[in-house]
This record gives sequence, C-alpha cells and structure tokens, in this order.
Amino acid sequence: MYAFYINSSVCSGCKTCQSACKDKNDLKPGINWRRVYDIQGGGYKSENGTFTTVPFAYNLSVSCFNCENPRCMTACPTKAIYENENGIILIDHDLCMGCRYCEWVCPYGAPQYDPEIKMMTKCNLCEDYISEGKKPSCVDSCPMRALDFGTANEMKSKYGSVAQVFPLPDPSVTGPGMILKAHKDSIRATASNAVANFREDQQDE
Amino acid sequence: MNENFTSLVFFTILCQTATGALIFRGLTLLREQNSTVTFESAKISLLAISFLLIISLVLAFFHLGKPVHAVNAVNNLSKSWLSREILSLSILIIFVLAFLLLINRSNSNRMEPVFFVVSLITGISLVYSMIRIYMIPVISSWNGPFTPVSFICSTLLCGLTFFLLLNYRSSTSLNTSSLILVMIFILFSFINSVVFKGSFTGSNLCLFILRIILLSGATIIIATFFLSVRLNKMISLWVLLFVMVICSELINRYIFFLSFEKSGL
Repeated sequence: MYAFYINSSVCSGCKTCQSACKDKNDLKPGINWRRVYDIQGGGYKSENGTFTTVPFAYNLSVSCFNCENPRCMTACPTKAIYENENGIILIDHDLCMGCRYCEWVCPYGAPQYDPEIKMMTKCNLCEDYISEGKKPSCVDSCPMRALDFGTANEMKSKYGSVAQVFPLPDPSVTGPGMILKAHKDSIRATASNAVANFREDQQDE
Repeated sequence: MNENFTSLVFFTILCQTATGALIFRGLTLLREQNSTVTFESAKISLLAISFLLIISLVLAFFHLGKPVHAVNAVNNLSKSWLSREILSLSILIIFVLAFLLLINRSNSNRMEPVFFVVSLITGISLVYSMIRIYMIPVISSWNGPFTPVSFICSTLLCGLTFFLLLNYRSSTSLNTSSLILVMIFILFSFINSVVFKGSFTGSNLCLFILRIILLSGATIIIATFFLSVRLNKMISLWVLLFVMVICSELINRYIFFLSFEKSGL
C-alpha cells in the first residue's frame, strides 16, 4: 500500500502540485485530481474582561489517498474501480457507467466526473512514474517540499501516523494512505467556539 | 452533488409505488382468498404496476453518463447495494411481465401465491437496497433514521393509494381499514418530515408548505369517502387522491436530495 505525506505546516498554498498534476495528466478545467484547500476561520477568547480574536489559516493539499478500505471500490456497481497488481486503485473506463455513486461515498472527493467522456476519473498516483521508480508529479513539483510519497510503512516510519486534521474525516472510515503533519493553527479549527470555513480555490478555471 | 438528481427522485418514488402496490395486492389476495378477482382486473393492475416499473427503469438511465455500460451494473453483487438494487428491480420486472403472460391460463390461480411470495421478497429487497444505497456514512444528512422511515412511508403510502385507485370499483376500496391505513401512512410521512428534518428554510420551506397542502387535500378526500359511499365510486376523486399523494412524496424526495450534505471534502 502506498501513502502520501502532507506537511500542512509548511504548505504555502501555491498550488504548484495542483498545476503539475493537471499538466502531467492533461486534466480539463473543473477536474482537479489534486486540490489545495484554503482553511480559515477563528473564534474569540475572553481574558480579564477583554475579547481577543483567535484566527487560523492553513492549507491542505489533497488527492486520492489510495485507501485501505476504499468506499469507492466497494460501492461501484460495475467493478469499474479496481485495485491493480501494484495496489493502486484505478478506474476501468470500459466498465464505468458514470452513475457518480463513487463521488458520493468518497470522503476525500477523489473520484471526479468528466462531462466530456461522461465517466468518472481519479488520481492514478502517476502509476507510470512509480513504475519508473519516480515519485508522483505533485510530490516532485512542490517547492516547499511539503509532500512526500512512498510505501505506507516507509512513510509511517519516517513521519509517524497522524492522518486527521479539520476538515478531513475520521481516518478509520476508509483507512487512507496518508500521513499528515498538521499546521499549528489546525487545533484552533476544531475549538468549540471557532467558526471554520474551507474552500477549494479554483482560480485556474 | 450531482445536479442531475431529478430522474432519481422519480425513479425512487415510482419504484416504491409499484413495490407497495404489489405488496398490498398480495396481502389483499391472502385476506380475500375466496373472493372472485377477475382475470381482467388482475391483468389491469399488473399492467399498471409493470408500466410503473418499466418507466422507473427507463428513468434510471437518465442519470447515467454512459448508459451503454449499464449492462455492467450487476457486476458487484457481493459488495455494492447499487448492484443489488438493479438486480432486484430487474427480477421484479421480469416476474411481473412473466405473470402477465401466464394470467390468462387456467392454472394462473394456483400460481398467484408463488407470484406473490417472489414479488414480495424482491420488492422488499428492492426497497431495502435503496435504503442502504442512501445510508452513506459521509453524508450525515442521509445517514440517519429519516432515510429508512421516509422510504418505507413512500412505499406504503404511494403503493396503497395506487392499489386502491386500480381497484376502486372492488370492495377493497370501500374497505374502511384501507382508508384508515392511508390516513395513518399520511400521518407517519408528515411526522417523519417534521421530526427528522428539523429546519426548513428558503425554497425548502416553500416546498414543505406545498407538501403539507397536498397531504391535507388527500386527507380531505379520504374524509369524503368516509362520509359518502357514492363518492367512493368516482374515479376522478381516486385519481386526484393518488396525484396529491404522489406529488407530496415527490416533493419530499426532492427535499431529501436537496439536503445532501457531505462531511469531509
């Protein structure tokens, strides 16, 4: 099983990874296999009769995490979503009927509908690069070195095993192949009095 | 959310209506074993039910990007509820059509219980699969008791109303218990909307008010049936009752799809 490492604490949100992915895979406007989310918000803190703001802002670069229990694969009625011999989850376009159910069940928004071919598409972890011993294009393009890629065991031994930060779901749901270094502000996003917003920046469209 | 969910609204409601009608048809046959149900009335009922099932199957194709690949839809029966739903619907359609072909034969009366058991099992399996399809852990607004209660209510309410419309001339329609059942299902459907879907805002509120008006209209029609036996025989009132009920359930399902809210990204 493969895993991505995401160092959210150094990610500047430049979206080079997103652009590299689009370029490598020739993705059409509206389809972003890798996406950078801009998470921001804040709350108030009351101390000695005065209120001070507690803002937070950080970025999160997200793609298909090649989950251990992929909901998309289980839910797909046609078996179009399959795991290849290298453990990479892919879509067979000879089978996909474009029902978009995988889009509903994936908590990471990985399967994306292509209105031109009328079928689902998803990140293939740059399997051609992997077979050549290289890393996916998003990882190598990151100017901040916020991304890394390897086998799950390799990533765990290098970076630990944290896989959750707001707004990502509980990792026990799908067992994502992802190790995360959270931004120091991310703890504030889940504080009870905080208002948190996140959006996917789609300025490239 | 896939914007093209209107076909799913019609697909789910029409499927559930046909399944509910089949269930009530079977139950009536069990209750009134000695009654003389003519081949003609049975044929009309089954024709109408099969028509609904085929229309719903056709509608299901409208939300597919590649309908030509739909032949693969039953590939994942071991894991996918969507595959199981499609298989149940296909079996139900084949079975209803097969029974329609056999109904004129002399031994069709003996086959009626077999037909009822198979249609009941596949019908229940169809509705159960539908419920499981929409109980998605990452869609918090659907992953609760509202979904199963709503789907079961639609099956029973629309199914019974459709069955009564098809048999409005027979004694079943005059049966007070059938009308009381419709009232109970309307009440359950209404309570389910209010209890599980706490807040209604904007366009949802307008749709919800329209749904209440339609359900109230349906209740008034049933009340008139209680008051006058003559009105019971008026097909226009039965059609109006069915239209009001099905429109209210279509609105309810539309609100259900609008409530799509995904946790995660």
